[in-house]
Amino acid sequence: MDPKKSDKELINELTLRFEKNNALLKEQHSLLNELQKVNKKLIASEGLKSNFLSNIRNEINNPVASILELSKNISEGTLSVDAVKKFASLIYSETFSLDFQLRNIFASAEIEAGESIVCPVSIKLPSLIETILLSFKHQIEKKNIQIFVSTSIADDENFCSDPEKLHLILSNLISNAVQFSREGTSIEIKFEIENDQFIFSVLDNGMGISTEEKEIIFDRFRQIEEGSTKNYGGHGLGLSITRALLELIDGEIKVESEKNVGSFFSICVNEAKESTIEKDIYSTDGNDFIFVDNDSLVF
Amino acid sequence: MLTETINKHYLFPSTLFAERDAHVIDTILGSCVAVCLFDTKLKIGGMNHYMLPLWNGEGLASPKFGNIANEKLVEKMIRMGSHPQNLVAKLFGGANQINSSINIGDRNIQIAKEQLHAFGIKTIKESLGGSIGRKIRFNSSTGEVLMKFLTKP
Repeated sequence: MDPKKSDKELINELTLRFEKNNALLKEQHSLLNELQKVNKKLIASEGLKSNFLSNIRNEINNPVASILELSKNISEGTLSVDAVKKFASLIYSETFSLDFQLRNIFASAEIEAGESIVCPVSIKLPSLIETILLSFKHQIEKKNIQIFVSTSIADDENFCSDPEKLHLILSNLISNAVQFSREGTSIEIKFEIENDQFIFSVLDNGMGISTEEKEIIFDRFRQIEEGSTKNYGGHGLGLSITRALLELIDGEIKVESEKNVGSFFSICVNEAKESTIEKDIYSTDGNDFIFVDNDSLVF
Repeated sequence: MLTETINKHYLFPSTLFAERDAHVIDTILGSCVAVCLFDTKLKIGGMNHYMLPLWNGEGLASPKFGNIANEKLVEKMIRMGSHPQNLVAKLFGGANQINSSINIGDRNIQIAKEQLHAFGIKTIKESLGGSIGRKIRFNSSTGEVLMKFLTKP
């Protein structure tokens, strides 16, 4: 330190250093807090993962047991035609929910393995959404839910994205809306294409989500209600998959909700540019890599 | 590098790719990091492309995060028959966006180096950091990587 400095200057200098030190300590403290939070979360997540099989056992076992029993009854050949129809329709709806669950499980395994590949093609959105709604017809009718769909997209308008991923994203959003809606209520679905973006929203009159719960609904294996007494099925993968798939196809998801009133989920997806994919991504001529300037290197 | 006769794969962020067959793997990196692993004995390779250094328990445990992406890539190479001691690494990316204060790029680089060190895998080539994005093309059967800086923003 400069010996010529006055006492006052020295004190000022020291105060400054103390303040700096304190700030550093504070920062360290908050970082540690953060770390502890993350650590807790990771422990919880790993715990949920190891309980995954036992958690989903019912989800898989119950439908399989009903399908076995129903099909056995049908194959015995003693049922009336009406009974066969009823049983077949039950088998269909059990198999549908099983298939949906399995598709989610496989999708999450694929994403976690980093092997989910994006294949954009031209899609006719109205027919895609109609197909999905039709597939949920059973559940929608069972709960006596009315669906209102509004769009200004023409039937023959094309949108370029990955149809398989979009299918699973929209299925999850619609499935959630149906599942968490009270019986006899309505669901509003809107979709548009604006500025090369696909915007889709679904509004339900269901159980809703509180602000704190908004944090956890996108985490894997997490549901607002947990444990064996929960009222709703599923295994808490749907929204975590939805968000991860949206990231892959260049989209995002927003949620607005009020507890016991309903939820509003909206997604927007940027159109994949077919031309850039062809030209940029699968460039066959290798021209992009001819080393004419200093910017280019071989490693 | 002849690219007409060889399989091509475009590597999207948050994914990884490693197969026995020869492939040319393309990707574009900003603050993301790509680790290219090459087995000098078996002449096979794989690559990942991650966006953030560490998974914090949110969402899916996907290779969007360095700690998961690097582990999964090494695991995959081992499943294809590689021994870690035969693997060499080439690292790319981790540019820092000028307006970002948290230096995601630097942290992405750091995690790759730490993990590769822990696996005992030597990094033989790298082009990391700076502020300009990169485009790379990795030939998984020769280990050769072509790189080009993207035009300045």
